[in-house]
Amino acid sequence: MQPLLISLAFCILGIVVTFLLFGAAMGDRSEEVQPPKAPEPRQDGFFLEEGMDSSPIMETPTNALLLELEHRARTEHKAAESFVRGPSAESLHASSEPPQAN
Amino acid sequence: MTRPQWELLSGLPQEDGERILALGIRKTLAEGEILFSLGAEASHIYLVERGGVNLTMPVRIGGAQKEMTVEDRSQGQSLGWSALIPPHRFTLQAQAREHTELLALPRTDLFDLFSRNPAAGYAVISNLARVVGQRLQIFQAMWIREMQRYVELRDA
Repeated sequence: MQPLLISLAFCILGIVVTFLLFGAAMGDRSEEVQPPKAPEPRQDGFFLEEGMDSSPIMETPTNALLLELEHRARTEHKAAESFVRGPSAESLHASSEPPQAN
Repeated sequence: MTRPQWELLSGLPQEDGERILALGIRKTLAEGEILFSLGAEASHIYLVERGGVNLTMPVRIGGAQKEMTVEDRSQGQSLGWSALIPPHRFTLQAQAREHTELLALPRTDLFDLFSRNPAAGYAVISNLARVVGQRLQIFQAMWIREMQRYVELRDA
């Protein structure tokens, strides 16, 4: 009787070990086939001050607009300097843009 | 290196000019370095010896604050005249647009010299009035040009 019980115990132990190994192997595989994680959405936090750009996509149009404004300020400044050198109603409202080439 | 023609010292006898320049503390800025910020206490007026400085004011674009250049100062020109006029607070930010060398003239030393040499003080303040006056006229003209544009857009 005793050898039979020992054999039975070994069989049960073998089955358990087999299941454990199979489970572990399947777990590794399921990790392998998981699709890459999408980047987590950016959270506003301590290091994003109010008023800072939260998206790099916004950076380009913002800087483009800033450059446009600075160009406008320069050309208007030059037009205003011309007015101060020779003040008249005409020079005050003269165009600040150079004539377009044909 | 040729010596700059200082707009602030124009018309001064050479020895008076030298005395004023002797008060200067040499200051070097790397490209992009801030010389002073808007709202800061103005204790020095600056003469640009070499390089250039952009004077900027903040604008909000799409929720972001950006510094917009409204004027620039280069060799021989002065900036920071808020140091000589109450309430002695800068109304612009100054940032080096390239490697820049300046002379920083302390207000207290400058006024002390003016009290001992009123003729030099008169000449410097006259030059300053010319610079400030021209700037006022230019910005008045810019402002009315914008108003004219507003009228034209409104009528369009």
